[in-house]
Amino acid sequence: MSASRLLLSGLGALTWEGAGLDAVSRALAGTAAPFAREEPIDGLGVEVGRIGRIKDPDSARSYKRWGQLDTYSRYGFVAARMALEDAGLEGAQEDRDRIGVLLGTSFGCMEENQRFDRYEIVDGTVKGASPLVFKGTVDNAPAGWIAVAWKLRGPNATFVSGSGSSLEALWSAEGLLRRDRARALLVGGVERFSDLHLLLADSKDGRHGGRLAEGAGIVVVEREDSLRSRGRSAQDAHAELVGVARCSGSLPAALPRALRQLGVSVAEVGLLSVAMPSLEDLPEGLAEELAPRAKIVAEKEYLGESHGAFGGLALSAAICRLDKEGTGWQGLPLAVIHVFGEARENFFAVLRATKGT
Amino acid sequence: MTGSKVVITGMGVVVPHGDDIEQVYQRIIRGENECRRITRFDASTYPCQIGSEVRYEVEAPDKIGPYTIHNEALKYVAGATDRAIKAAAIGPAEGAAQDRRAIVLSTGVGPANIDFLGPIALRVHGSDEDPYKANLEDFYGAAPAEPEAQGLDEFHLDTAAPACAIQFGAAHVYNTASACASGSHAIADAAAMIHRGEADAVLAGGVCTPVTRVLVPGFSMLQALSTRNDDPEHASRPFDKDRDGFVMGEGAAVMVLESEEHARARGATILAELAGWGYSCDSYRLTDPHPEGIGMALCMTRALESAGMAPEEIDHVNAHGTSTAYNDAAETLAIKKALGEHAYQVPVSSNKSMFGHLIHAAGALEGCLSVMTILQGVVPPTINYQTPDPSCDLDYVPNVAREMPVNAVLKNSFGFGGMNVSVVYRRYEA
Repeated sequence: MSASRLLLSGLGALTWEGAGLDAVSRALAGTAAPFAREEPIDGLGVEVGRIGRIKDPDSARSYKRWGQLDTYSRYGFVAARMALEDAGLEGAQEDRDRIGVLLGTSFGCMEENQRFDRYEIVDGTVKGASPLVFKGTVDNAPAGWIAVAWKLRGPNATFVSGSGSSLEALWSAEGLLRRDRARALLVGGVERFSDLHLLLADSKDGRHGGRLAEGAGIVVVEREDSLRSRGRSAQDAHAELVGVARCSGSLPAALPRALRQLGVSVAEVGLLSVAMPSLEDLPEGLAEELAPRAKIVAEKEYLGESHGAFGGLALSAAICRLDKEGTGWQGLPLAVIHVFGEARENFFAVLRATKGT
Repeated sequence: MTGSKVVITGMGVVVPHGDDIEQVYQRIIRGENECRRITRFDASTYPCQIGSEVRYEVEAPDKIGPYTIHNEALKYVAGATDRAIKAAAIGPAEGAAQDRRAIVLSTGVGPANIDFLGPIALRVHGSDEDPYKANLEDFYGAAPAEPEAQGLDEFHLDTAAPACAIQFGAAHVYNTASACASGSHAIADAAAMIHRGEADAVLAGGVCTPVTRVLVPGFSMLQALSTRNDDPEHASRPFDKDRDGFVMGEGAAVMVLESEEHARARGATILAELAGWGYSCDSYRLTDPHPEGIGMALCMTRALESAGMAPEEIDHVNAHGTSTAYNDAAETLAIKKALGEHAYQVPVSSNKSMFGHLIHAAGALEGCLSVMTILQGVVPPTINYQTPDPSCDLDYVPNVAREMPVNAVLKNSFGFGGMNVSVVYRRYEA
């Protein structure tokens, strides 16, 4: 295993409030517009932050086939474009054989599935449908389009693990980068809701206790030797990815085990971002695990429940919450981002501030 | 990362050729074909009327924990998991030991799993004029008055992996969704997990039930399926000049992977080593491979590097070999790029000639057959190979299996989106 540090060299975020870190900051500050309330089905209503079919001139300029992309893929594409631009990799002629895409999603291409299933099938022929519609019925469509658009020949994978999906992708990315199987990876999650999903969410009202929101959160995670080869340093990155740990069990029990796995001390943690719908849902005993000045946040209160995209967006949110000088969180060097995986699993991503180091 | 060797200690399948991997392998090396006319639905007017179906009663539990095993996909994967666990003689872990076990499955949440959604979809789209309703009712019957709780849970999260996690006693669960490369992706990720020291034992593989009234026309739209309807048994003909597309297949295949230390400590029989794996992307088009096989070659080279092996050490290539014009020509070029002159010496075969393309489960089934090839020393044939294609000029083991010592197999899997995975299976040496 190579000892090169892993760094977050680019961030991309698409939220119901808009695109980019500014939109994430507005959401976190609570100054964003209220969520729209949609009523997709007679008699049912669900509070949801939707992004909708987006027209993005920058993305259209980036890729001549932008018009062919389904909405789910567009979300991922826009976030990836922002992350690549932020990392300085968007237009550069870097070693693209070693740059890849690893994304997570919970519901994936469900809207495209529904769209395809609406066509009439006569004698085994789908009437009036373009082959493009069927092409969109794969969960890995965004990862595929992103790779095609930027000629990225590194690892390309999509994970479907519920709300843990984007940190599942980050966990996998960490392994690939540490083994030097890639120099940089676009990592995160994408979620677009279909009306079936909204029906589900409505009937499960209270299950998550929060507001639904679509989104895409994608970051560039890059080996430090790659960053240096481009004339940049760790100081130019947003943060270091210390690592990702996966632990089963209750959150208060799993957190210290995860930190031990990653070889960091709980006393260094200044920010804990938990996957609960709000701070009112915090499990007992969690705060006692942390240093007294550490802050616990529940970003879903602000960003909404974006399932497979949430982990990716929470990474950007943690960067937005860096102290003013960018040297840490609450004066401490580490931030921990938590999401729930499938079954009884927790994922923890640990970031270390790089400014001033 | 521990760098521990990753070994295979058990395999389980429920596929068109049967539900016992040894018997399936015997049928495969005899060149027996399971591609026939579709019986799942009336396909008599379809452009493609051929499928490779599981045509026998599958033994599987009715319920696993809270999950009812109520559809074919769940039945297949639960059955395959049961068989793999028994073959590996590894009981379900309990308590804290579950933290050292994982499930990595390729199941997808795409149209193949739409039977989870059907009842809900029917409720949403209840209009009699809506063709959507007609399409779905063909599969699922009338819409239920209220969505049932279990249906909604299945809609939210695919239940296959959590159900298998109960069978195996695993705390870590996840799904890969890399289209046709997904089965090999799941197995490679499982190996990575063990290699990193984060699990002692992982059950990995895939399941797919794509022979449906909706998916068959979908793939036909892309001109990916064979239309040799008057001669179904010769429809899947990888690398043959007259190939005209693939045949959809269904089933499940999983394997138990362990760290060498874990397997030896419990006295397990080690079947083979998973020596290396590589990933890449074509970054060409969403549904077509790069015509020069650039991404495919990169992936094979990475797998060899990861295994620390030279091309000459590969004794057999278990090809992706779909029987489409594009894939087989591009894969041939890629094998030549990755293996150099050795490409002309190494036997390359496509198991898909006998059971079609199992999509999410393809890499897993073909991985199990690669292990059997090492154990038995007989390379499966590529059947229906009749007319050589100048663009496919390697040794495809035409029509008859070949006895030979096999120490290492390179298994390729390529998918929509351009995702490529290659895995190296090697004879285990302590």
